[in-house]
Amino acid sequence: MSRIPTAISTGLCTCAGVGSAVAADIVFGGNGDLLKKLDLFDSPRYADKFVGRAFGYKRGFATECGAILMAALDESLSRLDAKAFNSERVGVFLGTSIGGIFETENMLIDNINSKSQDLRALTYYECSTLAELVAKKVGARGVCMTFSTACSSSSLAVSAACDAIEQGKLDAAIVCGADSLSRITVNGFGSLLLLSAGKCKPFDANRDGINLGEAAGVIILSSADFAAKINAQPLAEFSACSCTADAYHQTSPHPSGDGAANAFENALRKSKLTPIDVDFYIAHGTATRGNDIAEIAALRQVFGAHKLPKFASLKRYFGHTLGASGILNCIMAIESLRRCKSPANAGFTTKDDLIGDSPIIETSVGNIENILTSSLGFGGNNSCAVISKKSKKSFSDQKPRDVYLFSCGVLTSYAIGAKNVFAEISKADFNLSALSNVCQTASLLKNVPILKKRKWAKLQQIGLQCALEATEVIDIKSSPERTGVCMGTGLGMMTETFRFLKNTIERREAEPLPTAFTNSVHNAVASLISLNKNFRGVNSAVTAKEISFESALYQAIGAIDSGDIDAAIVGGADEYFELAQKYLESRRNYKASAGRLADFCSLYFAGAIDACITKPFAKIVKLDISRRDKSPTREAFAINQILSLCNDGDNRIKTVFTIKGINENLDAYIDAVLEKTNFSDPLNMATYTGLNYSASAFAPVCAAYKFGKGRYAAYICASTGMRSLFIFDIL
Amino acid sequence: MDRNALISELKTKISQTLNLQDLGEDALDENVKLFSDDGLGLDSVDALELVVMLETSYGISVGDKDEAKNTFSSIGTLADYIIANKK
Repeated sequence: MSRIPTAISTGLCTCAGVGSAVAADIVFGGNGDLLKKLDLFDSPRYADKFVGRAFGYKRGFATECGAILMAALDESLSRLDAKAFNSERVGVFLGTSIGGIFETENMLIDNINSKSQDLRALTYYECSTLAELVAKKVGARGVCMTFSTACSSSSLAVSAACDAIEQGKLDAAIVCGADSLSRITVNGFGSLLLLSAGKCKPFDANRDGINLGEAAGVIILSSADFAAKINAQPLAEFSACSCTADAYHQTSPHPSGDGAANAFENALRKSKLTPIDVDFYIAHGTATRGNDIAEIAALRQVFGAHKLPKFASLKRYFGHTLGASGILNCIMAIESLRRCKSPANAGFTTKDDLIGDSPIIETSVGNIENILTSSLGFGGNNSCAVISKKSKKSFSDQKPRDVYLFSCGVLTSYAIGAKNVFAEISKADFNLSALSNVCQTASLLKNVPILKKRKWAKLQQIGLQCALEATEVIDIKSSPERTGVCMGTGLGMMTETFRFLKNTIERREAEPLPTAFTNSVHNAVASLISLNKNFRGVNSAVTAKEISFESALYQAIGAIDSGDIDAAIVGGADEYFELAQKYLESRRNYKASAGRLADFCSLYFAGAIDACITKPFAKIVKLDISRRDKSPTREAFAINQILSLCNDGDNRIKTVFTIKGINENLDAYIDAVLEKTNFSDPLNMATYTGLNYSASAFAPVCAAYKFGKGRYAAYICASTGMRSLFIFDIL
Repeated sequence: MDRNALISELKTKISQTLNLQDLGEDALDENVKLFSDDGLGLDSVDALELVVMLETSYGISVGDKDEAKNTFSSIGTLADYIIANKK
C-alpha cells in the first residue's frame, strides 16, 4: 500500500495564458517576454511598472482571482474522471496572499466616492472564499482550508496536503495557489521599494527588484493507490516537503539563509536523499537584493560551497506571483521531470560576486530524477519540496503521534489572561454585550519596551500577549527548530489592511504606508510570535471561517505526525473591526440580539508528550473536519457515529461546545442536529468571546477552567458548509 | 528654514511617523544613532517610512533603500541631507 503523494494532474493560468504546457513551453524554450505595463487599474504612481497579467481565462466571474483559479481548475480536472473527487476522502488546500481583494478595493472606492453602503464585496477579502469555490465545484467533502502566509502560501498548502495523504487522512487533495494583481500588492511592494524599474533580473549583479504577476495553479495529488484506482497516470511524486521560519525579522530574510537551509535539510532527510541526488533547484529567485543572496547562501549551507545544484528562477517569465509562486514552481518541476529538460533563468547577464554562483541560462536536455524547489516568504517564512520521478521512499514511515495541550493563553475584549477571563465569566451578572468589545492596547505587553513594540498592530500584540502567557508557565523541551506556530484567523489583519487601502485610495497613492503593509499579511501574528519566541518550525496563518482554529490545529497535528516538528503554538485570533461588524449586520441571516464582534485570541502550546517537561492539561482525542450534510438527520447520524467511538464507559462526553449567533439559519441547523444526538444543550462560546470566527479556540481552556477533568466535544458549523468535530480530554 | 528649526520639525515628524511619542522628545537627540542598536535601533521598514516622509514633506525622492539607510544615520545628518537636496 503506497501513500506517497503523487501528482496526477495539473492546471495553470499565468501571463502565458491557460495551460501548464503553454507555460512550460515558455520556460523550457527559455525565451518568454510576457511582462507588460500595469493596466489593471488607474495607478498614478506605478503605471510604468511591468507585471505579469494572466489571460485566456473566462471573465465574468465574481472575482478576477476566482476566474483565473477556475481556469486552472478546469484544466486539471479535464484529464481525470472528475466524479472520483466527490468524496469525503478528498480535501482542498489553497494558498493565497490576498484572494479576491481587488474587488474589495473596488468596493472601497465606490464607498468612498459615492458613499455607497454596499459591503457585499467584503466577502472576497476573506481568503477562504476561493477554497470554498473549488470544494463545491469538485464535490470534495474532506477538509477545506486556506493558507495565507504571503509569498509562501501555496507551498504551505502543498506541504499540508502531502502530510494528509501520506498519513492516510485523505486519498486525494486538490491543491491550489492563486493571487491576482491588486492595489494593495502593487502599492505595498512599491512602498518597500521592491518593484523593479524594468523587467526583473534574478540573481544578476544589477537586479533591482520584482515584477508582480498573477497566476493560479492546481495540482491534484493522490496516494498512488487512489491514482491506480481511478486510472490516473502518475506524473511525479512528492518525496518530501518542509516548512520553517527564520525568526529573524518581520520582512527581511535571514542573511545567511538559516531558516531556508533547515527546510532544505529536513526535506532531503525525509526524502531519504543526499544533496548529490538533487539534479536541479527551481529557485524562489525574486530578484530583490536580499532574497537572492540569502537563498543561495542557504543552498550553500546544505550543498557545500563547490557543488551547488544547477538552479534557475522563473520570475522573469511570470513575475512574482506571490501566493501562487510556490505551486507554479512545483508545476514547472513536474513538467521538467516529464520533459527531461531543465529550465533556464531568463533575465540574467552579469554574475554577482556577493551571490558567488550564477544560474543556468540555457535550457538543457538530460535525465532529471529529483528537483528541489522552494518559496521563501515575507518575514522568513520558508517552504520547500523535493519532487521526484519516483520517490526513493517505497512507503511512508510517518506515524500518528498523540498530541497534548500543555498550556494556554487567552485574551478577550474584557480581560487578559485565563485567570482574569474566567473570574469575569463566573460573575453572576456577566453579560458580554454590556462590556467593551475592544481590548485596551495600552494594557498589553506591559514588560516589552516601547521601542520594540511601537510598530506592532493591535492583533499582533494580542497574539503575542497570549503566546507569552502560554509559554511562561511551562518548561519547553522541543528545540526552537522543531517548534512551530499555526494560527487560525477568520479575517486576518483587517485594521492594517484597510488602513493601507483607504490611504492608498484617498491619497491617490501619494503617501505609502510601508509599516502598515508589512503588518497587513494574515501571518503577521504568527510571524511576531515566532520572532519573539524564536520558534523556527512551520509558521502559518490558516483561514476557514468559523473553523479556522480547527484547521490550524489540523495542520499542526499533520506537521507533528510528519516528524517535522514536535510542538507548536496553535490558536485562533481575530479582532473587532467596524467594517466587518457592519458587514455582519448587513447580512440576511444576522440576528441583532446575537451580539457583536470582539477582540479575541486563545492559543495553546501543543505537542507530542515529550515536547514539554511540564505535564499537559489536555489531550486531543479526535479532530474531524468535513463538509456537513445538508439534512440535519443525516448529519446527526454522522456525528453520532464519531461520538459513539469516543463516548464509551468512563469516557462520556460531558459537554458539547458550539458557536451560534453569526448566522440564524446555521443556528437552527446546529440545534436540529444536536437535538438528534444526546447533546441538545450545547454551550455557545460566542457568549464569552463575541461573534468571532476564531471563537472555537476557546473550547479547551473553557472546559478546563469551567468544568474540569473529563471528555468534551466542540461541534462547529462554518457558514461555508464545513463543520468540525473536535474531541478532547481535560486531564 | 534654518537648521535648528528643521531639526525640531524633524523630531516631531519622526516621532509621529515611527510611533515614538511615548519616548519623549528628549530621546530624539540630533546625534542619536537612528539605525544602530546602541541608538534607537530602527530597521529597514522604518527607513522606508523616512523615505516616504522625505518625499511627502520635502519633495526629495530617495530611490535606493541602502542609500537611505546610510544617509539617515542621525537626525542631524538627515537635516543636512534635506538642506543639500531640497529644491
